[in-house]
Amino acid sequence: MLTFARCLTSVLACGLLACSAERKPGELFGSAESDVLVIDAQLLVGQPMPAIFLRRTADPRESYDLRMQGVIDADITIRSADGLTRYTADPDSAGRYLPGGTAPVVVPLTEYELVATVGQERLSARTRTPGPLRIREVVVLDEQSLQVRRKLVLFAESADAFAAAANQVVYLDGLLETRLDTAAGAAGYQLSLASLDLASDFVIDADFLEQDDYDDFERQGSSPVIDGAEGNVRVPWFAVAFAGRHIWRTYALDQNWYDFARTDPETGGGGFGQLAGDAFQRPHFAVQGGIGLFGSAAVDSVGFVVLPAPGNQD
Amino acid sequence: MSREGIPSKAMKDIRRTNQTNLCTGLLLLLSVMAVDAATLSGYVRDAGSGEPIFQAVVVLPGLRLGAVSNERGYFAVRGVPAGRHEVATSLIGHETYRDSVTFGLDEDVRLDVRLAVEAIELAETVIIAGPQTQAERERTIQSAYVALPAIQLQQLPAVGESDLLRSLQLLPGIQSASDISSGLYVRGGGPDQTQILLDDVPLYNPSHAFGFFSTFQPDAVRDVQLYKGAYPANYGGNLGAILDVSQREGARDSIRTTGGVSLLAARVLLEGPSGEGAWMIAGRRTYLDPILSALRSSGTDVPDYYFYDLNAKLTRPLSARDNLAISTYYGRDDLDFDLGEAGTFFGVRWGNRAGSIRWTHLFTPALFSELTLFTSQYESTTSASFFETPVQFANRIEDVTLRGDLEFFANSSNTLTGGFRVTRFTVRFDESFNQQQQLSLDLSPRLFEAYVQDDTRLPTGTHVRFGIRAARFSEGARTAWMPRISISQPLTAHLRWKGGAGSYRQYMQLISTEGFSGADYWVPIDATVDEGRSRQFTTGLEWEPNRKYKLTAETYYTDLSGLVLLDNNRSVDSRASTSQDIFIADGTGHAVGLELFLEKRTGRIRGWIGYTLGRTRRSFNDVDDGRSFSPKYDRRHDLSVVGTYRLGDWRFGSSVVYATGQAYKPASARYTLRDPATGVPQDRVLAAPRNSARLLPYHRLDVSARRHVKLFGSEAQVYLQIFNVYSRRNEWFVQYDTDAPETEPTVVLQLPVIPTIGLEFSF
Repeated sequence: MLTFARCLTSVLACGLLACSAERKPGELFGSAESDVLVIDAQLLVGQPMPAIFLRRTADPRESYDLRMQGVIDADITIRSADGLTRYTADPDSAGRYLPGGTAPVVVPLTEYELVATVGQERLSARTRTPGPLRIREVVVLDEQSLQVRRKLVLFAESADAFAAAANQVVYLDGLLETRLDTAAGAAGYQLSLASLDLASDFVIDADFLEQDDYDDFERQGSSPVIDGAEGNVRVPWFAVAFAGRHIWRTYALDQNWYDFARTDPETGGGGFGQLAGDAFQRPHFAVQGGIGLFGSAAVDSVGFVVLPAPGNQD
Repeated sequence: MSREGIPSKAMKDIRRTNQTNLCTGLLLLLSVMAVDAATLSGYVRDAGSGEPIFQAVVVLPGLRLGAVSNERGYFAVRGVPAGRHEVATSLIGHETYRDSVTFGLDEDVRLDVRLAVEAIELAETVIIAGPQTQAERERTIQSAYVALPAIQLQQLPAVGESDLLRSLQLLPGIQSASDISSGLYVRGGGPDQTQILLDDVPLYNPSHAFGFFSTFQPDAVRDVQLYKGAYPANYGGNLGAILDVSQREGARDSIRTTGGVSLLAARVLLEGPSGEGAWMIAGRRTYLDPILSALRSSGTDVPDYYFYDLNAKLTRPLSARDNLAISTYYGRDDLDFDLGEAGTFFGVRWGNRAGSIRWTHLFTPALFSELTLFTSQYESTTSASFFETPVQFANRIEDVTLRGDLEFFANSSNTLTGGFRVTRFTVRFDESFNQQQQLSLDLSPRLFEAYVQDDTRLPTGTHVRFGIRAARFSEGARTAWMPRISISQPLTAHLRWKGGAGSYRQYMQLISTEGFSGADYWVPIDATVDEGRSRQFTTGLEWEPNRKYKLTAETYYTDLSGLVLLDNNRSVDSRASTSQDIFIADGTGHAVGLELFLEKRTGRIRGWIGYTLGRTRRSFNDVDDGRSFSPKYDRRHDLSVVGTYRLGDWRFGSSVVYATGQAYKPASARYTLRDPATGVPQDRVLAAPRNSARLLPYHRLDVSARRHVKLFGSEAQVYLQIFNVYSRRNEWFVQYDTDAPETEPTVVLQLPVIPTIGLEFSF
């Protein structure tokens, strides 16, 4: 009996002694993937070729300074069937590149290839732009019957859509739904909502929210990707936090943007049953020689004004 | 103890049955194997409660004939020559019953045995029951198999409530996902790969409180059989392991009450005789809700939560050859978190309902049969609304199964079993967001299964169990043939080699988290993806130098294919309606390991040391470019040391566990990209390959102290349990914060020290 007791005690003691108690700094990071090229470029159909960014990754153990990550000596071109656009570095912003000369307009249903060369390093990516996107109508639905209460005025119908009575939307009243003419070649859709009146008050008001929660609300946000197969998309009220003018943009995405957004933990790619860091994953980068996003989209938007809910207007 | 002779002839009975029974072919085969001699048969029951005793050994020592009682306590010994012979019935922990029985030529002798618990064991529980004689050593030919009376598991230190599944996590080869998870990760398999049966009925979600407790009421459980791998052909449906839990039938001698109160829940069990049968009804409920309600009234936002269980069973003999057993289980969890404003609330409710009717019939003393009709339902609904934006997930799975089993005790060295199982599943899974239906599954697959199995004991002491199971699943019209074998070979008087292998299929898939389990979702695989497939191999040595010690060393290898992962990258409004839409499919994997298990089974100090050296890998073409990775529950080392010490009316218990830290995805770089839809720059961290790093090792010490007392003249125990005595804050998962220039990982920790007290009583 005593032998067994000693054995138990010894195993127990050895087990406990073998266990280190505390973490050392930097232990919770993996093998560093620093100095990898990161491309950040999104083309919007019908708009001029945009400014793009080329940076490098940093070791997460070190203090991060975005200004130090910009690549300033790259040769960057974007080629399509219509020609070649050569980019030049923006001297005022490390890592930012601007199209040289007059920026050509991005053409729908066209393939573009980006190539960035930095010394011996070469980064490349391709995108095929989707067809044009048009919001057919935006309606407010009754939340019970799902019948249309009214239609909002589109920018195409009025230059001052924000002033239209139909576009004054009461917070939490009804369901806002966008109906689209789906874009040809779109892999999926994504929405963004931007509060334009930067000094406007919160419409969100709940005792269970702490000041820290309010501080975390941002005036711009984007949705996870959606298929939009039915051509109608609803705005969740939890995406709205502020009163005043809002722009609601709908993007028809190319495959790169769609794949990136649906796998990007920051965008909150879909799903449930996630915990313990399962959602923390490497986004799908369709980039050779680096990471990042070279994607394209067609976009349309609608504007409306959010009014506080009755009883919450003080 | 009763003794009854049955004046029927075995051969005539079999021939008559063959003419009327649907299983004519099988019976013909069985009758051919009959021999012209007497048969000894009967039931082995506990002398006190009358509960059937599984795996009791009945031997006629002078003739070297014997049998082992089955799950219903039934046994049959064929080929007994006429004359007077000694019969001994034994099981460790019980007094051996001996009798001298006279057998006539071709006579069928009924001997119902009641085994009394050994006096020395009455005040103490055996930690792990094990064989002591050569015959008993042979009772368990199955490798990777553990049989435990529930009372043994109740004695181990626990957090809050005694819990069967948590106690099983202390055995080698079984891991837990976290402190709050009672999910079983057996030999590198996920919880969905272990089928959990309650009185033969599968339970889809055996957990309460998001996995903190299992659904098994400790008082209502009689015994537990765990097949950690290479399980036999009479089971099916899962890739990895089988946990077969039997409910108590109830006391046959008097009405009794057993119960307990802990800080979290109260439970009570009533049982008593019903004619020559028995009944049992048990209930358990948390009383967290009044506590939470009191907190709420003080202005704190706390959810409302409760769970409860109801178990009931009725067993009645209909005749000397027929028994009827009706068993049911109902369990529910309900969580409501209504924030009372802004259209924001969160609610989860889930529960199992199960019921079975089992008819046991003896065609002849040597031909035992069971026909069981059972149903199991699992429902899970998550309803939430965030600022008037409703979200709902609802899953309902129901199966109705008819199952038939035949067991033929052909002779003292050969037992044939066979059976069928027909199951109709009904599955609904709906997901909606902002009043728009997104995922909608509505399937009614059918599963047809049949098996045959032969247990043969050779004169050399070799024991071979070979079986084959066939399955046909209606989704995709899939047919599978699954052979299984177990071999047990004595090498010396104290050393035995065991081996086993088998092929397995799984058609139902669990969608759950790895951190905790709660409102899980089950969906069947349809024709668009392959079903899960596994092949298991296990081999090991069992050394039993004496009754006190037993050492087992076992290795295992499992290869897996047709694995699926929930595709969390599908778009939020995807109209997923097939398995292909929901899952990342075609995963493969393997698990390999070595388990060492040293038991000390007698004396004041009892316990075990279990160690597992294991490796588990998975790979999916669509995950990390097909690179293989360790699932979170992969543990290279897993050690548990469990002991109890008896001192007068006191009983002390302790358990120490140590395991390699769980795998996780670390950050390997920091970078900046704009949110493409807003243009706002976002600082990000780049995930390294999946689960390419490890958290710190997990370790914990639990202790308990129990004291027998008299409570109003009745037997009772008061106990104190301390979970995580030295409050080791084991790591659970890691989050990264990029708000500051320094990337800050935050480790979310598991439970600190938790003391609990409680009382258990019986009268």
